[in-house]
Amino acid sequence: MVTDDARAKRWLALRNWQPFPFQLKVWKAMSKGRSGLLHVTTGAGKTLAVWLGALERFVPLDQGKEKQTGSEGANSHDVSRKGNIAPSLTVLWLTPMRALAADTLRALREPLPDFAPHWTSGLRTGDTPSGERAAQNRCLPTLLVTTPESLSLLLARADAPETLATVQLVVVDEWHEMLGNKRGVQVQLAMARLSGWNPQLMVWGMSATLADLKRALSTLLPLPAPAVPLKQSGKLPPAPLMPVLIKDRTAKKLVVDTLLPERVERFAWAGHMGLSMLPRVGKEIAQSGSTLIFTNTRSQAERWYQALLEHYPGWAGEIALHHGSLDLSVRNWVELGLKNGTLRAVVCTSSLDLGVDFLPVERVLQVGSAKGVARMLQRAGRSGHAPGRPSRITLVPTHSLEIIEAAAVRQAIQTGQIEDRHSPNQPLDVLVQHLVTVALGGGFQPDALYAEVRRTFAYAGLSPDNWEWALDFVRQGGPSLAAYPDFQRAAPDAYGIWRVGDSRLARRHRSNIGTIVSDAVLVVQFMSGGRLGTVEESFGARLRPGDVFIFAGRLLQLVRIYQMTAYVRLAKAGSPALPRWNGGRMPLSSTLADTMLSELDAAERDEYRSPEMRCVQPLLELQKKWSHLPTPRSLLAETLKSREGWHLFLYPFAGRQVHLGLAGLMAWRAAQAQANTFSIALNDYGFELLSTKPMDWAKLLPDMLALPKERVPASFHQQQNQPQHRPQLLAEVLASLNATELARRRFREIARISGLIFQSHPGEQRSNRQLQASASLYYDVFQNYDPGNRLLQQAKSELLQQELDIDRLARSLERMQGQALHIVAVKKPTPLGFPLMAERFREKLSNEPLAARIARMVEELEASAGSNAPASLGRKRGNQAAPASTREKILQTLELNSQADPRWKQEKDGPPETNSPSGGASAMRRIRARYRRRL
Amino acid sequence: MHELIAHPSIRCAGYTLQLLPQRVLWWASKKTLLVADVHLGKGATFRALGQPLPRGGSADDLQRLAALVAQLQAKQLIVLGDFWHSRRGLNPTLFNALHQWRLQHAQLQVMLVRGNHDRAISKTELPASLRIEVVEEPFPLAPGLYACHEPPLEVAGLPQPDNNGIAKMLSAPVSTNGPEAFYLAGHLHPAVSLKGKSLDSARLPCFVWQAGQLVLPAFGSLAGHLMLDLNLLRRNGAKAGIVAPDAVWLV
Repeated sequence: MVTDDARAKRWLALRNWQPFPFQLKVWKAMSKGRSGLLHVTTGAGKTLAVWLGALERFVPLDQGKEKQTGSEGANSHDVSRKGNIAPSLTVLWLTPMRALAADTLRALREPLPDFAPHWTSGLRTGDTPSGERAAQNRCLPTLLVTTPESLSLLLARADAPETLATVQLVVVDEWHEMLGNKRGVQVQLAMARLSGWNPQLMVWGMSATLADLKRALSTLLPLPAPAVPLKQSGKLPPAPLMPVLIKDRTAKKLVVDTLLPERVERFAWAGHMGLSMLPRVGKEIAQSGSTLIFTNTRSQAERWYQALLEHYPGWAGEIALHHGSLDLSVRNWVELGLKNGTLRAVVCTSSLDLGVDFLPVERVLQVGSAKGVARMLQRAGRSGHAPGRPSRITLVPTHSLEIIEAAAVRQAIQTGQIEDRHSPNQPLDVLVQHLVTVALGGGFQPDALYAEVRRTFAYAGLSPDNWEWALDFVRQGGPSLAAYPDFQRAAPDAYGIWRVGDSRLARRHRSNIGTIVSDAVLVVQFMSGGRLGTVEESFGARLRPGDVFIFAGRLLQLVRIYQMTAYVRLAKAGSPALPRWNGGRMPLSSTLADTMLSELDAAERDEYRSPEMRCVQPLLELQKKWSHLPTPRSLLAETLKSREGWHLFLYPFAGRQVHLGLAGLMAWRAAQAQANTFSIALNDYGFELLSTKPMDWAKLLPDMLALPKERVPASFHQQQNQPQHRPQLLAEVLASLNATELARRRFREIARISGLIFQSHPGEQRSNRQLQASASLYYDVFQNYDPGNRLLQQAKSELLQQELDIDRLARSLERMQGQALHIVAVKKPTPLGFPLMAERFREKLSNEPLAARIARMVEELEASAGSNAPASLGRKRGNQAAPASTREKILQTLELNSQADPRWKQEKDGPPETNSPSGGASAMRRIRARYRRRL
Repeated sequence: MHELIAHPSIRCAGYTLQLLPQRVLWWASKKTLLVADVHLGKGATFRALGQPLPRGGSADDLQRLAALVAQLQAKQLIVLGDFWHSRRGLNPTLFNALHQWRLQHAQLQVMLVRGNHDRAISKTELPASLRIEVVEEPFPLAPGLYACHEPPLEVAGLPQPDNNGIAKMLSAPVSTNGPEAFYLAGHLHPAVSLKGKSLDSARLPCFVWQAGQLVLPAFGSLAGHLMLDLNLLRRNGAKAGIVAPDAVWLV
């Protein structure tokens, strides 16, 4: 086998290209059979680096030429034009997005005629037609471009050990996209499986914008399997070579600037659409070549696209909209327009963060803060997507505090601070899915698979206990033998090999493999047939025929909903509704938050170093005059007495997730002395607690900020691998929030991944009505009848880790201990406090028992009904309210008036004593017991 | 017994019926207990088909039913359909428990208005000793009052009538019993989500009371819920009897 890179250099030279130093390094490492991680900015040539390296290594020198060995033919099943047998599956190329796969394959096919004309290549994703898949099933191509989900499906084939053992190299593209989520865990498990069959397997990751590259590398690569003596010689095989980390040292030129409002005093202090900047953005678009306008949500993208069209009607046809809910054909059309340079501008979301090279893109605008440094870098890289060309990203702030974020982002990029991503730790749902996958894909012996799974980063610390639980779960639903006697998903056969016996279960598993859980959606389709995309079912359910809404950049009118499809026609006019998608707003990353505090620190010393900071100077001076500026060394608290009540503003700069947990905790602690109800508002910079009863916040605050004393040594919980090294703090946070409802939401994903519920596929008939169940049902039933179920625990720990980010919460509390506390009684809301007061979505927190909560919610419902609130779509409909005659009939028929039935009146005025949640100590105890059980 | 008085009563076709937080309807003057959608054997069905639902649900439900019958000294039990979940769920354990329960309440008359799940089970599969009288819907309980499984009138608060195949689930027979008729029904497993202006929210099963019809919540603990839109329900002039742990809130 040839181990030099002469062919690769020659191939580049033919195209007048010079290899970059990092490409040479990759070729050298690959020629020795090493694995590694390649980290370069987008558009620098990383695909060619790994792909040419692979071809050099796996295509023998003489094979590219016309050569007949004469021995093939007898058992050849795929003979290329040149007469050489196509080698069996050798290279697996994993890409995170189906949409990228086709482009990737096209790029990879380019050098094939010169290097290896006899290699076959193919694509296998969820979009691959069944005919092509069937052909692949007979014989997989030499190069296969696929997704993590499709790879898992291959692993679930009964012949997986034979067909996949020939894989020599796996390339994982955009590893940073998967590293921090369950798809990444799925990839980790697949790598362990493949390297078990082929110990010499090479794995190459490619990533951009990561902080801890070493960990990214060790997360991707499975630990080497223990060496087994070779059969022939009895000697140990050579130890695997150390993996390499290759970085592109040539820094790409990056420009970050901001569209600054003319007068910051006139600029919005809060808000998130940012349309006041529309004329400025229009001017930038007019002056530049092809422009991408990134927004943070799909709703915002729809709104901006609509507004641009209204202001610049002449741009119709020249500007386009791109987001994840649009139909594939729409997105393809937009992407093609970008590639050909025929579009002036595209309003998009993270859907265009990744992948394909849009060479003509010249400008990138980011509307609203990107909330993270890595995301900014990623998006900036969309412009100047070619080696040597500079990238430029321009921020379009939506309110004045985002201008500070802009300055902070540039500062963070200059000093090289980027967010980190961590692999999820031992997610049992993914493990349970993997067990069934492997049981289908040739079966497993528990001991061997346990060792294999523990070679992955995510499950390195998997305890025998958790392993046994997962085995028990797929075998009998739970640990106790009596738990689910008639249930069996996978079980050992006569030889001790675990397999799936039931072919129906096998089919069900295969059609539900994967870790991406999407919300139920309705397809949006014209009456004439054209598909536009999808909206979430919850939004669709609120629409009535005749309602007008904006989608895919069009004004649409709903005709009817039938079989999960919303049929629409173009609307002429009307006040439209804007769909909302449950994407969730990204919290400010801690890297960016810390940099922001440093910027404020400089402002505190009257240093305004950047145009952005000079722009917001008047605002910050005002903040200083009325109160203080928060800095890394000081924690700012403001108290205010208004007509609404007693306010406390606190600015920990820890992101909205953490502020939710912190605000809950603070309110809960403040209510310990005296039962109380607080109204909470929060943003990325701080939060506000409002009490209608008098509160001496200044006196309470030091105790509210205390870190609870933890009695259990940290090592105990590290062994347990639970996020509970702060049990006291956890208990308080859980007690302070409505943890049941939050964990229940989390459980949906877990139920899907672990195979408790299945995704229904479009067009699929629900064959088994008896099996309909929701994640919510499982959650409740497990709570009542199997409270030790570890999937429930997983839901709670994911809630704490991912949604409330308990580690960051604990770190913020720790940091606050070391900060000087400035408590300022302000007379009116400050520039920092005002956005909190203006937050429209307020949350309430109270330490009343369930029955009292229900009573309060019923009361609120009655109150809001009085003011005729719930007209959610802002339209009056004659047919909605029952006609007066019907109403009268109800009253007559049911004698629904206070005279006819005194008990009903009693109920309305408030339940009588015996039923009152607040009356009677025994009732109280019962309610508390129930409430505790529910939690 | 005096505790009962606290729970809301409604007047249907001239009869007084009481909504109890045990998710049942109590017709005091006739000593009749009405329940809907018990779905016995649902857990067993799931397990047999490879889905791990824990055990205990059906046994629990029977126990709760027995306790109620004893507490109220009911003479009649009327099940508004879906007493059983499926034939796969029928097993000796379940039948034993049922026999025990029948022995305990030998005097109790049990009547089942056949629901869609019950129809999949033939008479021969059920021991006659259970003494369950099966009738077809709509079954006249008293002049003007009918027991059904599927709600004959369009239910207020259904999120989207033609969404999710719910329309298909409801074959919606048009009432032929005159405008004065009142129907008691089940089938839908109605529930609502109560939300305050807060983080606080709770999903609770509910009764749906509207002109001419009352839909009961599902009695079975494994039955699952169908979430109704509470605001829509109220806009349509109906009322929800929201079942809290110890009370029914009629809103």
